[in-house]
Amino acid sequence: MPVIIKSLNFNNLCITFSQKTGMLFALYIFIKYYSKGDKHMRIIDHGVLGHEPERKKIKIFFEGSEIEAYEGDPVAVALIDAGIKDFRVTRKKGEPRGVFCAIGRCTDCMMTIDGIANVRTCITPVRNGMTVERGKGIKGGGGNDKD
Amino acid sequence: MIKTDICIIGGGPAGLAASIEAAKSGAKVLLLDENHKAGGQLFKQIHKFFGSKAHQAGTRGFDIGENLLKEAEELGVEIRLRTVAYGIFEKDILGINDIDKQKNGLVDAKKIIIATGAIENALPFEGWTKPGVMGAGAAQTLMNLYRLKPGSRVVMIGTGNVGLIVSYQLMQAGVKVEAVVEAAGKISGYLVHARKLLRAGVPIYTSTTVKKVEGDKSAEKVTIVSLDDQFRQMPGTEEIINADTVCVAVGLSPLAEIARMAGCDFTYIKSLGGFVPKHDKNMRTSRKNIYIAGDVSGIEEASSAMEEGRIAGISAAESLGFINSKEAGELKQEYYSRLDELRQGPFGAARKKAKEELIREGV
Amino acid sequence: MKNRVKAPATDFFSMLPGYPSDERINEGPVAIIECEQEIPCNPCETSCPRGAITVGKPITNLPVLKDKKCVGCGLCVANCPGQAIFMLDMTYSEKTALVAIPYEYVPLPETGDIVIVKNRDGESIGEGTINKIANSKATDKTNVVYIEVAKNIGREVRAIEIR
Repeated sequence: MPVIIKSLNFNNLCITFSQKTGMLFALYIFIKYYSKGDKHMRIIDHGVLGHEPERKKIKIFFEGSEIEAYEGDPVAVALIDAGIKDFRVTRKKGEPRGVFCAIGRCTDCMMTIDGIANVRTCITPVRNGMTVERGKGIKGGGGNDKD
Repeated sequence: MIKTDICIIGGGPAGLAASIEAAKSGAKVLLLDENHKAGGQLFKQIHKFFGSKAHQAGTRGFDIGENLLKEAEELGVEIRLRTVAYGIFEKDILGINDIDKQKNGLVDAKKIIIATGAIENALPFEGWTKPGVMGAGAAQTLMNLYRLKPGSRVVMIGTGNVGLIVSYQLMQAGVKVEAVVEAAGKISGYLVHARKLLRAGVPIYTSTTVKKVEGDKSAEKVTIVSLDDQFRQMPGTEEIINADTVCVAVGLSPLAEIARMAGCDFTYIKSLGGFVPKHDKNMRTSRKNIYIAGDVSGIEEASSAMEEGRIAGISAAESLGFINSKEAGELKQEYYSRLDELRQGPFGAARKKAKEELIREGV
Repeated sequence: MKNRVKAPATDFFSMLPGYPSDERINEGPVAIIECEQEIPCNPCETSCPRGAITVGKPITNLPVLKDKKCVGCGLCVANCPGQAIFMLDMTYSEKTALVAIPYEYVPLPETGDIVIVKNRDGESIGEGTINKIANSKATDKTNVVYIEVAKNIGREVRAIEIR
């Protein structure tokens, strides 16, 4: 039996319990997907590159959450597509770092992959079931796990 | 220990071109590249190249890359991908590491050609390290190799050809280019590239730079500011642009660490990107068995990298007796004149002068 | 407020060796080459089937348009790596001209679409109707888009905006 809860605010709107749950759920989904920045940054059609080819989807785990990735993509690409751009924080000031050169030379994009620290995510291809973490260290991230 | 005649470090346009010439001569060639596909920056160049027919003008970079790869493979070049050459040791033995297998190895090559390319420069400003601030080439890599938009709204720093071309490619990828800023008083790259942006309504501001980038976990707000004729920021001219990406196109620097490790003599030439290993007309360094080619020997373009690669490949093969001097001389002459052609005009003048002085100085 | 770069006006380009004469423009379809810097580059020369474009040696020479030889076929429009060549047909109809521009974006417009036409600075200067889109293996993904526009803006149209 629906419980009628009087709204705290405007116009004496009567919201049913199930409607309130629905709104909360919608809010949850909104926060989950939009607080991390733009998602789904794939180029579907392109004047020179053509249409996006069919690719095999796999799953990787970023700090416990499942992320969809395409086989063959570097880890960094899968993360940015999922709306995650901050890959680690610096040891002293805890400042966020991410991709800079994207060709495996600058080391700004390093994360802990499958338990191994300091892996360059921009040139490491995703593997099904791979775990990706921001890495542990002094002040919350980056660098050697043992320091 | 892997034994070979010529080991080439780096499979970009210079390395591939070198491997082709060396393999044609009959030498045993081993090409090493850190990535899972050779081709260096070529596969990201989705635009048509300039130059002449001999330089494959009008052909898109990635097609040139495919052609080079195919030719190298057909000629029997051994290509080891996901392999880093991490050092050159006594007797010029190369230390290599297979990244995936985490396995080390050694290469004993009679001649080594270093074609390791270059890295983009960073530009310091408040917020320069934030995620979302990346090299223009990095944006190009994400878009053209992985079909990923680097962001939604970009501010591009730099109007050299890299900045102008990548801005256009961002537009092709469906990304909004909010502004292109140039610290100097005029556009430094080809005006034809700039015009593609102008007619699409993209603002290009000269005497302007980025003052700061703000954002919580990544870039969100970019402040641009005008510069006076002494390149000083003028207070009160700040403008805020809502952008989540800043692409930095302020030049490249040669990745020449391995040449330094091998004890090659270096010199500093600003117009070539800074510290470069010295080389002679044959692209040979001060270390008699080590050659260089491409951006590592001085920042130019993919077209020049290929010609230098060819010269290095032929010279290395010649020094091992795989080509006779006459034939080598003729081939090299052809490539010297193609290289010369690319360095003509006002855009090539500084590089032309620098390379001529470098070669005149000798090793 | 900032030093915003503006493109030069048509007057500037009409002084270049790659720009056809007024007389020739009024005779029929012709190429317009807006290339003013000495860059080592000559695909325009090699792509023209009628030898109407000369660069010669050194290849940094500015392209010269032999406007009498040009028939306005549009091949050079697709082949110029700098996308600096256009085609103009002032005789298309009594009131309209046909302009062809290189185009490498998606989505491609369709014949019959009404689009906004823009000048070299990206400013809207009117509307046009897409007349045809040419592409082939020879143009290697650079489409040549033909737009019918009012005659008086024929020399200015350099870009389109799909609504």
